[in-house]
Amino acid sequence: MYRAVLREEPAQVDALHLLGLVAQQRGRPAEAVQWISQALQHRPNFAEAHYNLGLVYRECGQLEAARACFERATSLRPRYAEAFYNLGNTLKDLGRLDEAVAAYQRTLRLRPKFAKALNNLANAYREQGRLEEAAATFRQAIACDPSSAKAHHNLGLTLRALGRFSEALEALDKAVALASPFAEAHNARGTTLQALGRFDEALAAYEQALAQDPQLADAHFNRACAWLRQGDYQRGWAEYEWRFRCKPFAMPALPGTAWNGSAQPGRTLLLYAEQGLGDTLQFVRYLPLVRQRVGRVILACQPALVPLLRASGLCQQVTALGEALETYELYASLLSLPHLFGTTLENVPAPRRYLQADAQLAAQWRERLGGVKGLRVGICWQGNKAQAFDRLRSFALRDLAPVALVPGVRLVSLQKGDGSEQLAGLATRWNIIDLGPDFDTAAGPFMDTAAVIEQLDLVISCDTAVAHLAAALGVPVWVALAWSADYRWMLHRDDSPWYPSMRLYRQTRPECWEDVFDRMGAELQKLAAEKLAAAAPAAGTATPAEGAMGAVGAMGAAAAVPAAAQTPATAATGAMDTAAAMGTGGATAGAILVEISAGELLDKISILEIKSARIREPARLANVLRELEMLHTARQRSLLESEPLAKLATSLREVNEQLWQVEEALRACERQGEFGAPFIELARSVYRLNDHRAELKRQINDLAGSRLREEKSYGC
Amino acid sequence: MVADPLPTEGLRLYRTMLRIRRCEEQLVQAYSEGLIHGACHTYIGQEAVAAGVCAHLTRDDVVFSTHRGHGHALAKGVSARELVAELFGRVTGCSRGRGGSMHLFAPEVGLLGTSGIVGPSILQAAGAGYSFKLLKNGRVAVAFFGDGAVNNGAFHEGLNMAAIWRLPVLFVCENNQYATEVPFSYAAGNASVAARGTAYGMPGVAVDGNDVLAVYAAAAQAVARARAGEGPALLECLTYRTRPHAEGMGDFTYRTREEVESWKARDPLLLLRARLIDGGVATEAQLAQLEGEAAEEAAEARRFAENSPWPDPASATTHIYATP
Repeated sequence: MYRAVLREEPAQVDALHLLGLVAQQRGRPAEAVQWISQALQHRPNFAEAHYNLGLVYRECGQLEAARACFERATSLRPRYAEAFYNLGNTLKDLGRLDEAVAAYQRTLRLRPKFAKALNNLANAYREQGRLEEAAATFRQAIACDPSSAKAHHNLGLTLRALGRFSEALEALDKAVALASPFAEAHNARGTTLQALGRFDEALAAYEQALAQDPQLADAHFNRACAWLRQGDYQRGWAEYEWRFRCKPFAMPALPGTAWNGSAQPGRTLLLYAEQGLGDTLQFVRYLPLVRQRVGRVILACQPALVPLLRASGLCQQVTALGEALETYELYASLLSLPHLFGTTLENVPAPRRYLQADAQLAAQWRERLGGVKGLRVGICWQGNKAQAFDRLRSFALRDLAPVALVPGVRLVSLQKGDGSEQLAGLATRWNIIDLGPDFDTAAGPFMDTAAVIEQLDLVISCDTAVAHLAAALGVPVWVALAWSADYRWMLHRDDSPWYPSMRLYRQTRPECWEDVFDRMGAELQKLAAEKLAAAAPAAGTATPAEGAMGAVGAMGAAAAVPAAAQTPATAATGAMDTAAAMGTGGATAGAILVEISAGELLDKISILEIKSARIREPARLANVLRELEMLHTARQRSLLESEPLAKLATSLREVNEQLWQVEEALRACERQGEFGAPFIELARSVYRLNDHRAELKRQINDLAGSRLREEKSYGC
Repeated sequence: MVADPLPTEGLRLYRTMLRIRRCEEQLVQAYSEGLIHGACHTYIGQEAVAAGVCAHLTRDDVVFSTHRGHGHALAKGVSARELVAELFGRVTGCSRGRGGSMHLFAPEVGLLGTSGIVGPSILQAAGAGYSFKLLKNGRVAVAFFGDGAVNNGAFHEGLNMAAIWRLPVLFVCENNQYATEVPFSYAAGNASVAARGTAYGMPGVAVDGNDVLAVYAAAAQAVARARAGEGPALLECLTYRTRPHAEGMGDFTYRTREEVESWKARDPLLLLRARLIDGGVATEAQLAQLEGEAAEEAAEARRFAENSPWPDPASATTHIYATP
């Protein structure tokens, strides 16, 4: 019919245009372009024709031409919502994300309830990393079309990425209720439940996903982690092999034969690392076992670990991933070794120590840190920010306050890269040893770190490579774990079958580190006091602080409080913990609560510290340490610490040391019946020292604003 | 002590107190002329507290304040113009003329609100501190409140929560000794506010709230402590308001002229002024210049407010419902 019109009137624009549309519908895009272009020759301002020509070009993949058409259409008709929408889609396909977003926004101003535009805008936001806006926009899309399972799924994924797991779960619940099968949404439900710490339900969700799509690799991988978390290593490690079919873990295309774990003497095996640095450090423990089965092993690992692992002597050759390789016949992933070796909970290869620092560097650091007094605790708080759940597993340096404030603890920062900027305000305040910018540069990554760790009493770390390194070096390490921790740390246990020197401190509430570090702080207080006591010289000459220097590595014995000192305290543990928690003495039965001045508190603390360094008998020492711990807690909770306060406290301690020595000398004179000039001098020094002591206490009271003042009165 | 703040901070603190004082005096005058609608609680006599505490805060830190909040607003960065215009009910005020004396709001400088209710600042600051802690952004929240608030339930709840979660919050009690007209000694079982800190597991420090350098030094420690993640602190600043509870109210039924005069002799501005001169930090001429500038700023703010438009009556219902 259109052709009939054109025969009558060859320049009939509508007929040309409509013929173009018919051609397009019949799948003849070239013809469509011709007709519509003709129409436009006759009427260049025909907005719909430009728009439809754009659609044709877009369909043929001529994105630039399509974009020009849509732009022309929108400039001719500024309220042309569909044209803006398709301009947005085209710009997005062209990778011009910012412009696409602007085009969608324009569309939505013209037609606010345009569900597809909302959905595409939200996806564009997501690609831009503007997750909050993406979530809000997905919600709008859902408001326009509540039955769209896809929109609920997308909302769920966005909320999950934002760490808003409860809301994400709600969205994903709707997605799976609206559409079936929807394996991806079940899988996403699983990871969300897992992040919420609802592990059994997570596993059930993966099972559901797999029931709907048995080939969904992501769900297999997630189920593997769930099984491993439960300690079901037999099924877990086998299932973990599915990761190679997941995008992020795709196996590199390697020549050679995949190794099945069998004995192949005389052949060369390439073992390659994957995933994080910690994974590599954890699984290189298998290398000695591998070497018993194959002739020669080449390890290809992350460049950052090459120097350390080369020095370890664990295998014949270590090379960086991506570098040229010598010839080999067999290959395997390092993370497949638990599977290939049939690892179960009962046979995890867990030597106390399977890496060591470079001996020369260790000696250098031993010397450099020689003067560092107290319990040396290495700290690392920030993992690789690129990791998906980093926000959950890393903590802030300032979360470590309960650890940093334990008297007798000296922190050493092992943090590098992201997170080290947090040292700025706190390094001086907490007297943290920062190892400087040259750290790990000369000898290579981790070389200094390993050497320093060997000089420490303890490492406290988030779930990151440093924790693995310390444990692999056999140094005591306390790992702060998120509510929903990585599969390898399993569930409900505070130790790891993989690392004998490791202790796990789990969050007891999601995203809440307080009680994790409160518990560490309480343990550390005991350790620091023990170290102080253990290192005290037999004769009372050196100050306890200096004495504390001697013994390094006394804690090698699993960071435990010696049983002898622990026993008497254990009976009172409940009451003591309450008292500590209350800061100024809990309402234990029989306890007397009374306000004391700051000077009195610091005086008493200094005396107990002196006693703890000199008393050797376990039961008596335990009594001293118990009181000291309560008073330390009270100090921490009640006084604003400052440099001048610390100086006054040190002076007070010195005076009390002197008084102690005078007292001992006086008693020695008494025993020998010598009451001559030396005795008189000693006796006189008592009141001189006591006057000085009273003055220091007064200054402390002034500084702390104590209401109580100690007054002295002596007859003239 | 931390290095004596007088040489480095003295002038800055003096300037902040002066700006507050001159503004308040303008407001007192304007109130008597009928230019201010609603109540007007002035801060005269208590300037050292806002000045000494806010000197440690960044723009990103937040402050929650009371019905007596003009000083906190100015010290936190609200301009004199926006403050005076707000009390005049003009659209150029910090709350667009809708808040008045007791509902100042300027989130852009971290003034998250003053309130006519007694005590909410304590819980609001705890809430802000909780947010900062979750977001790990190193910011600090400050609650200013009076002695009248410390026997409220909010005080107990707020301090306890801040202590157990070790929140970056500073609780500043401005103990001006009267809850409206009720003496604190009459209303409190424990006459020390600072001593209550210990009961909640946080340091409680009492300072002379008319000595801005003392407030400054104590706040320095408390803010640093909060920023370091070591938890909250309670600061009791003993001070006195030398004007009536609110403009237009009588003053000598519950306290004596002698008492007021004795505190005027300990005026925080006078105390600091003498130390600046005695310490050789500033000359009379320098201080006179500062005083002139502050007076001019306040006068100019008043002119600005008087010349500012009223809010459009048609906008009376905006901000009442959330926009969908």
